[in-house]
Formats: sequence, structure tokens, C-alpha cells
Amino acid sequence: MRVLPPARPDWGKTETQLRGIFERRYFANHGPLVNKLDAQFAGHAGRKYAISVVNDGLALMILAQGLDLQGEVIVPALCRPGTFEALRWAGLVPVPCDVEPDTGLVSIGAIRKLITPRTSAILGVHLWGRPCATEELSALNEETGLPIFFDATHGVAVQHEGKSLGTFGQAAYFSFQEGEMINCAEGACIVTDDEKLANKLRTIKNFHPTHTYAQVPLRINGKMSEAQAALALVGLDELHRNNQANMGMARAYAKGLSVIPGLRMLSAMVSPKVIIDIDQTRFGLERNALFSLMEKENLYAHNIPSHLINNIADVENAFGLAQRIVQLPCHPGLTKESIDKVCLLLRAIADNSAAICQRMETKP
Amino acid sequence: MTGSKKNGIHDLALFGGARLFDTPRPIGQLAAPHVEEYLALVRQAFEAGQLSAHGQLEQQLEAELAAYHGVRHCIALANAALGLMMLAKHFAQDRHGEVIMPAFSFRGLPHFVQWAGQMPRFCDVDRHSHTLDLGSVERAINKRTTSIMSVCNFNSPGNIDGLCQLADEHDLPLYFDSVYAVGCTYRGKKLGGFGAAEVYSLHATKLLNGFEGGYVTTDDDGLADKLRRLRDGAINDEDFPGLALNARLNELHAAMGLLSLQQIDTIIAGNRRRFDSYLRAVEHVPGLSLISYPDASQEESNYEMAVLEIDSAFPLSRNQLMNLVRAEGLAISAYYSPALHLSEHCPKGLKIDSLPTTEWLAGRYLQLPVGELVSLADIGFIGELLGFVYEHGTAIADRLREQGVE
Repeated sequence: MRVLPPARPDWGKTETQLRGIFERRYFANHGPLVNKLDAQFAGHAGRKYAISVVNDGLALMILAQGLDLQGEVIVPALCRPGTFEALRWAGLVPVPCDVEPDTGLVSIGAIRKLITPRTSAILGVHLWGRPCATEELSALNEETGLPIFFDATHGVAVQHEGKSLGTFGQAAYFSFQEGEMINCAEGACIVTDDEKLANKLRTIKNFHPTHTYAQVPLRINGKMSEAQAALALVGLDELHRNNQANMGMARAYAKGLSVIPGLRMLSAMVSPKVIIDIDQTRFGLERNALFSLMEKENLYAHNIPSHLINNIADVENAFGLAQRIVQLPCHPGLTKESIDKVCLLLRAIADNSAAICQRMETKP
Repeated sequence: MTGSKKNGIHDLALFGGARLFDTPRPIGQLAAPHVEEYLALVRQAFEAGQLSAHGQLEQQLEAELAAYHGVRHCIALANAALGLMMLAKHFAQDRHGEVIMPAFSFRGLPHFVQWAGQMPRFCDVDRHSHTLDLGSVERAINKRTTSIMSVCNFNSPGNIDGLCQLADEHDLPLYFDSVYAVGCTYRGKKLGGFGAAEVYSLHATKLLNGFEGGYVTTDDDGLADKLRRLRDGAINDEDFPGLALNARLNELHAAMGLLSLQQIDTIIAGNRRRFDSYLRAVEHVPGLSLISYPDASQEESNYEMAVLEIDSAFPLSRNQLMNLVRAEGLAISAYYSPALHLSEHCPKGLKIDSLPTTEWLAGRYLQLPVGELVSLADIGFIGELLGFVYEHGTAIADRLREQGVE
């Protein structure tokens, strides 16, 4: 049992789409499937404009460039690996911000302390199916005038108060990387209602004179291919079904884990990843000990790249969570029986943690 | 329907006649493997449960490309732009300096180095090879120079030995944008292992079609290791310097690249046939010629492009001819024009030297339709069209001027 992607496009539908590409002989460069995906995904995300790009790293770089940001961007320290790096490629200084200890979502209080004249924007990060302080950030935008944009990479299937996570902030970007609810072999999409921004983003992502919609100083090849768009369209078509199945598994975990002391499910039912937080005192074992006990590939750890953070004490909650959280297997075909087994095993470990610790100390 | 005959200038599409080609003839390769072979490979990736993040197909592609180019390492990437960005950043080592590049080249170049925190330093090119001119490079080198990005053109990889020597003398890293040099040789040796690294493309319009994609070739173990670690977009290692960039090639694209590589000789042979047809098609039209490839007994070429040169013996200007021919359903474009230092792709406020050869070259060429979607018969029609335009040159030029096309 391993941590596998939560969704994979149906082969039959994928095959049909790929055959269409070969018939049209249209493989790249703003093709019909990319256009179709942009139109359909805008509708799905409840925004006027959607701009598909090659991957989530470039989505952030292109978006930061399109927003004309300079100087510092405040980012919750508990974020997707690569977020800091992408901002730096866009010439920005990411300023890590601490998170709420119970949710892992950004702390508004911590953001306020970090705002300086050098701050150019705030990147909110929706984590594991939970919205990131949308109301508070919107209020902060009105108060300070700082643009707010969102990393909705995990949130393709997530709704907050009946609205897609894409509807919050000036713009948001979603990921279609393996591991998300739509998997198009990398791939990402930026959404916004701002026509000027959309025209800039469409221009920045390519070098073609015929696809120049705005004056922009810096451009890149961030185009999504027709093959990627084919998979994303299949994924979008199956999103509801895959999401229902995924939530069924998450609920089975929630039930099984609820009786284990010291384990807490951080992810919402709608999250593509099942994430748990381990309280060492009550569970009896710390995360890394649990890793060495179970096959490592059964569980995924989440670490904060500490070399990117100057002072760990400033992001204490984020750093603490990153040391404690674990991703559990949740993918198509995983049975309720298997989930029960994982929960039973974790229960047995918790019940016998003292003996296990003793044994591990004597026999490392 | 193709080949609508022109009896008088009123039959030209720009003047209201029927178009020569109903479906536009492209200027990219667009070669494709058999769909069943492609689906079989992608199905393998589906069954292996891995569509990205260095799956089997990507690894196989890297091994086969390294063998093809005769180098120790091939690092597959999401596209060629990201490879050039990563190299410019790597060699700058946190400094904000200048990268030397030709001004007669692809419009993306100045953008790549700016992402890497560098400014472009445009240099002039050699009148015949259209690649970096050594004298211009030598004059441009200064203490802010962080690297030299040389471009191998379809017709010549340039004076690689001279550039290597110059780079050595000044202790500067030199690497190549070799996007148009797949399968080409320099002094009998296949391109791939020159300079610190070379960057290639797997874009559908290039010789090897991987939908989108690119790769870096190098014999430098340390550089290869670094690029492999950087391309995942994030590095969880305190001791590892460098800025990671999500640049992974996915399995859908790797599958296409693999099949494309298998048929590379066939693709090149097809290009050669089309190029020879173009030679025959324009040889009798005064004022028109094709940029030639190196002598085939000395060097190998991929015949990827057919670029038309228009000189003063032709009655129309390059831009007039371009407008006229485009209207006929040929998706032609001006080759490397405008010159980068005079284009919208030049950073604002950059001090610009005059680059006479580049400026002269930038007004002379048209990229003609090539690739699998262009038949030899099409090329015959294009030749007839060009001959017709020459014969009726004065009348056409007058009419174009009336329409405001100079």
C-alpha cells in the first residue's frame, strides 16, 4: 500500500482525445483543446478568464510577473514545495509568515506584523481542502491596498460558501499535477476576473507576435500542450465522480482515526490528500519514529525547506506542524477494508507506544 | 484544393483572387509518429501509474538522446526556454550581470536571461553563418559579463572553436542554444558536447516533436547533477545551492519524443527532399535564393528550414513579398526579424550599439513552409508563384504601394 495519486484520467476517454490530436495534427501553441480547457475551467472556477500553463511553478512565476510585483511577498511558511523558489525566479523576496497551529492556514496576526513598505502582495495558500482566511484577507486588501492572490493548487474540487476557491482574491492558480484531483501530467491554470491581467498573462506565457495581447516587459514559454489539455479535460469531466469517491475514503479515515489518541485529521473531506497531525505526547511516538516503524513509502512526510527560512522561531507553528504531519494513502481502488487496516495499525501503535519506544531505543 | 493558377495579378489572393492553398502550409516540422505506437507507449505510462516526475519513458528518452548526441548526460526538461534560463542563472552565481548573445536570433533570448537576473548584451553576427561574430563578442566582454549564450543556426553552428578559445581566455562560461542543430555536425563531430552545455527543443515545430519539451546535453557530471536536482522545482537540502525551477518533462511528451527520435533519419531525409525541391523551384527566379547548408560531404545537416533570401534584383521588398505570399495560404514569417536590439524584446533603457550585419540581415529573409504537411507538389506551386511574382513584379509593386504595403 503506497501513497498514490488520488485521481487518474480514464484511459478510454484519454485515448479518444489523443487520437483527435493526431487527426488534427495540432500539438502545441494555443491549440483547440487548450482553448476548450480555458473556457471550461473558467466556468468551473467561477471566473471570467482561465489561462492554462505548463506547470504550477510557472503558473506562480507568470502570475507574479503579470501582477507587476516588486520587493516582498508575504507567504505562509506551510506551503507547496517550490513556492518560494518560483517567487524568487520572478525576482521577488518571499517573506515566510507563520500559520495557525490548529489548521496550518495563514495567521492574519502574523501577516500584519510582516507588512512593511517593501511588501508588494500577499499570497494566500488554501491547504488540504480548507479555504485560507478569505474574508480576513479581503478585509486586509481593502485596508492596505495590497493585492491578494491565492495558491489553490490543492483546491480544484473545493468550494467555500458555495463558491470555487478560484473566486477569491485578484487571481488564483490551480495545479493539475499528479497528486491533485485533476492530473494532466503537470499542468496548471490561473483564473481571474481582471481582463487586463488576463491579457498580460496570456502574453507572458508565450513569445508569439500573434498571441501578444498586452505590453509586457518579460515573457517565457509557459504554454500547455494539447496532450496535457486532453488529460485535463478528461479530468474535469470526471472530477465530480472522483471527488465523491475520494471523499468516501476520507470519511472512512476520519471515522477510523477519531478513536486514536493524539491523531488528528488536518485535511478536509474534500482534500485530494489525507493529512494527519501527530501529537507526540498523546500518541506516544513522534512522526519519524512512526516512519521507521511503517514502511516509509506508506506515508509521506511534509517538511518545510528550512534553508529558505532565516529564523525558524518566526514561523514556529508552521515548522512544528511540518515536523508532525503525515500523508496517508488515498487513491482510486483503495478499499474501506484497507483503510480500516491502516487505522487499526495506527491504533495498535498508539496503544503499545511505550513498549515500542523502549524496543526502538534498545534496537535502533 | 491546391495550386490555383495565376493568369494575371488580379488572381493573386491579396488582390482578390483565390488562395493558392486552402489550408495554410506551416513553417514548422510537425512530424508525428504513428498514433497506435504513441498510444501504446502512453498506455504503458498509465499502467505504470506515473505520468510525470521522471517516469520510465523520460529516463529512456534521456538515455537515447545522450547516446544520439554522443554525450555523457541528457537532462530532459519541460521546454528549451527553461534550460537556457537555468544555465544563465547557474553561471551567473548570484551576480547581476550581462549575458552575451547574438542580436540576429530568436526573440525569447533576451527574456531568458532577464528571468535569470541578467541583462542581454547583444552582439553582431557573421555575415555568412549568422552566428556570433568573434570580434563583436570580444569587444562586448567586460567585467559584468557572466556568460556567453551562442546560438547554432540551422545553416551553421558558428565558429565554435574560436568562441571556445575566446571564452577560455576570458574565463567565461560558454553554452549553446542548439535548438536548430539536432543531428548537425561541427568539424565532423555531432553537436551536443560543445561548450559547457547545449540546449535543444522537443517542440512540435522542431525536428524532434515531443509536443512541448526540451533537453540539455553536457559532458559535465557536476552540471548535470545540479540541473537534475534543480528541475524538480524544490530542493529539500540545506547544503545545496541554486534556485530550483519546475521544469520536469512529463511522460506524454517523453513518449512522443522517443518515437520521434526513432524516425529522425526519415524526417531528415524528407527535409532534404523538400529543400532540394525548393532549390529547383527558385533557381530560375532572379533575386531569390535559399540560405545554403554546409557541404554535405563535410558536415551533416538536418535540412529543417528553407529560408529565402530576397536581394535587390527582385522587384518586391521582403515585406511586400511576405504580405503577398501569406495571403496565398503560406504561413511564412520574416526570419529573425526585427533584429533583437531594435525590437520590443529589447529591455527598455538598454544602451544599444549599432550592429550593422544584424540589421542588414534582418531585412532580407523569409522562412518558407517546411515539414510533413508540405508536399513536393506544393513546393512546385510555390516556385511557380514566386516566378509569377517576379515576372509581374513592377505591376504588383505598384499595386502594393497603392495599398500602402512597402
